[in-house]
Amino acid sequence: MEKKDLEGELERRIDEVSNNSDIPRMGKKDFIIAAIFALVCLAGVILGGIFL
Amino acid sequence: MSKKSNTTEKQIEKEALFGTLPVLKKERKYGFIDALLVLSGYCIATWSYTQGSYLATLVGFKQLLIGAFLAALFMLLVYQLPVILSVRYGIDIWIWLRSVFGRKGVNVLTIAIIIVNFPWYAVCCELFADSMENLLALFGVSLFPGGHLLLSLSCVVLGTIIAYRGIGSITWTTRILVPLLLLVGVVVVIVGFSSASISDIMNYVPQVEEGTDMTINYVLSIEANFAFVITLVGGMAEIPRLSKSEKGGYYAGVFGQGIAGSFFVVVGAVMAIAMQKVTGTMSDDPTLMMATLATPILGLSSLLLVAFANVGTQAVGSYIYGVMLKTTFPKTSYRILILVLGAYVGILCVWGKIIEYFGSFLTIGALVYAPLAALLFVDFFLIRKMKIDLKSAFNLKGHTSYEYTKGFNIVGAICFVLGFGFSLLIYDPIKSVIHIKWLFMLTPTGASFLFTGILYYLLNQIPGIRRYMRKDTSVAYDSKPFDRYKVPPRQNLFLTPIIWLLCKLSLKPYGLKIDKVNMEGIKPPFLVLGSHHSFYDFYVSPLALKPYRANYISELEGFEYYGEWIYRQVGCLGTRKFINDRALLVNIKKVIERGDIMVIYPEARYANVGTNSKLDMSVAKLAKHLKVPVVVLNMKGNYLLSPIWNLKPRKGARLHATLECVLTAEDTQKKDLNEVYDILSKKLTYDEYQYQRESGIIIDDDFRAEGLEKPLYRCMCCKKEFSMKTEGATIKCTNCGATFEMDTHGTLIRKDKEGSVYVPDWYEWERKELEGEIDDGKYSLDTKVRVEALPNAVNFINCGEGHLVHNMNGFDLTYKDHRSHEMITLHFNPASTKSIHTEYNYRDKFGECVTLSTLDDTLFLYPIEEGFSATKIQFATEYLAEKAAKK
Repeated sequence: MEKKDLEGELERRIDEVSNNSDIPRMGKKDFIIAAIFALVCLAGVILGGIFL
Repeated sequence: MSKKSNTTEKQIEKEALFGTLPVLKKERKYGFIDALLVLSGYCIATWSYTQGSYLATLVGFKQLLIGAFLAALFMLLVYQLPVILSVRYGIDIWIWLRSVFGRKGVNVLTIAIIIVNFPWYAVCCELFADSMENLLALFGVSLFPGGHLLLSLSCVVLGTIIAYRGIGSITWTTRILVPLLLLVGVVVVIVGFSSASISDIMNYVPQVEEGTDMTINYVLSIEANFAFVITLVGGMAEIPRLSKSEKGGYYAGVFGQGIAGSFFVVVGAVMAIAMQKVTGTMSDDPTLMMATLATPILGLSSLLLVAFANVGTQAVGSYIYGVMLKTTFPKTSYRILILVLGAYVGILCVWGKIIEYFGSFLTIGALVYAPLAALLFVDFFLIRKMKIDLKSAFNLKGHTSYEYTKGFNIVGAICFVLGFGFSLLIYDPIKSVIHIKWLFMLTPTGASFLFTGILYYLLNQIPGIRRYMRKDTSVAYDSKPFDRYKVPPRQNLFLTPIIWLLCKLSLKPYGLKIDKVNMEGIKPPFLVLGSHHSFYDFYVSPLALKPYRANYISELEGFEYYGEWIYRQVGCLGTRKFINDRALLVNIKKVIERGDIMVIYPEARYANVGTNSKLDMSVAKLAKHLKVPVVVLNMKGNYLLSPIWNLKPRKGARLHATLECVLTAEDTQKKDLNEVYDILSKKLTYDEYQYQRESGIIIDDDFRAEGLEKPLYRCMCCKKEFSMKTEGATIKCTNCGATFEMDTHGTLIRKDKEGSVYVPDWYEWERKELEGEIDDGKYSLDTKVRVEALPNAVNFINCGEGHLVHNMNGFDLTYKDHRSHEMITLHFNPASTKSIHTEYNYRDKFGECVTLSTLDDTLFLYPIEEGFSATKIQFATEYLAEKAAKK
């Protein structure tokens, strides 16, 4: 593919993914779950250092 | 070059180019399970055993389990979060890293990462040599001196040959490699658990020297786990960008590394513990364990599996990094790059101490990756709020948001280097010396991650840096409206003397004199109404009001320029010009009620030609409403010093200010509205050129007329619009040739004929001419404009091209709204727009502009076509408002 064609293809793809709203997104709830999960892991690491 | 090598080169070029293109939704392959399986395969390699046995030298098995799983999962849950952007746009991390490091900065980073990361492949080669040595030992063959090195180098050569041959060989290698590694893992688990009991392993504690601080060992083990997972940051987005959902892509990365990868680390630890139990010696070599603990046939076949798994890993690694380098150096042959990578690993093998320094190497890797991961995290979530300018990230023509300083983002680079240095301040990974113990307890990786992230965030709060960083606000912006109701704080008491000092220093060359009239006994609260000539008004006002501090009304663009925090500390209230802002009235009242001084510049715009604008009746109403003394600050010389049409200071300017109490609190109540208005109007009248002449101020700067064509846009001789040009001290009509020179007292002297003109007279003549056109129904403006919205103190938003119509019915502005993303038309009727804000060269951006405001946006409108004059639009706006008020 020529450079010009590649740039056209790239621009087309950028426009498409920029408007690609139907890829299921992480919602607020998902971020909260991930944060809780991370805190539980961190607590485990700290407690493991203290008690084991 | 042969036909075959040409084909390989083309295939690699295609991979390097197309491998970076955004992946479309229809091309996504992976659900969560698929992505998890692929990433699990990506995370397991024979070096997992090295990591496991290294951890077993530091802590007991239970702590080892906690570190391998919980510490790894914690770090992954945090640093993998930004991969959701990769899923959303189908792009690799290396593309959007350009927002953090700049186009060329990413190239430098690529090389740094390869230097830091490639020693993993030297570990593979060492393991390969160990395997082969054990294999030969099974047959009673002992190696000659240098034989081990020869074996490790042969792994380099074999891996490099496979990578050199290109994609076809790599595809086959990958297909064989992952099952091989899984098979090895299964064998190691079986052999390990059948050689030592579960209780032996569970109760294992490492043999350490007396006096060893086990807490330090525990932190070191956590650090090793953080480092182990964070070093995969470079490849973390390759699979997620092919995922069908953000959650799937994210958790595949977290569990692929945190569960599957960690499982193999634990398997390595079990193996090492079992070996110690049986032989008394700990080993990180799975082949040695096979040879020692398993049956000869199983041992032999496992040895071969491990040996060739290492060759495969080396080949795949060379290929991945070769393609990465090809993206960075597109003109260099892929095969040359593969040979360079092979030579680098070869040198590490000759050095021969990579296993001995495994912990140090891990930590050094993490020293690089921790700042990188922190920058990604903060940039993505806190700076760009999960939006990036893809066209700039891909360097499309005309999109330069991430070009920064010649392709390098200096801010990102400084944070990266300081983050790297910060962890070295805490811990020396080469000599294993702890420098700052309390920070070491956070682990060097954790501390560096936090330090870099916080530093990057704080730097981005500094307005100048934020503007440098955020050139992508056309796509990645903050639309949240400014909080107009937020109560303004009093001017910061500690800042007040600094403000006085800075103001005094700034005005020192211009000999400011301040007269105070009727000010005896006048104490806050009171209202100050100031004339408005230039930015120097803000230097004069605090000095005139000394020893009191005050609150000032400011347009939001000042908040954006200097930063909201500092502006509020200075005591500023934010608003937009020429709108009915009820919140502003509420806050003005609060300032007065708490006993402070409220300073207002009622003209709301710098003087175009050094004369005052007409005072609005609402100012008199406000004075009556507040029931406090009204003080007028009439400043002189500020316009002469830095006129709006050419802000460059004139060295001859001299400043004078009169602070006069013009109405007591009782006066505001006793006198009727018109009386109050007349007094205020009279006291706020000024004429800068008259002041110049009367004070004998000589302004002889060569450039003294440059820019004057902005307010004087129409030729006074031939009446042609937009024909005036200025150069040095002269203003000339390109249509009729009439030429004027500004003398050192500010008067325009006709050069080609007798006569002179006074600048404010020319300006008012233009106004009258335009008013005549409006009365004749001839005025109308219909033009394309560039629209930038300022919704808050954070950013301007490029709204692209808009369409502005101005006629007898007021303004109609059509543009793409940054909130709804739809084309909208705003209508401003003449009665609601008493005037309009004008700028002649706003921040050196796109020349002159006017602004129209709603309660939540200030819209800066720059001309795209000929025929746009901010002065003319202002005259028309004021006259149409006047006509509308008479109806």
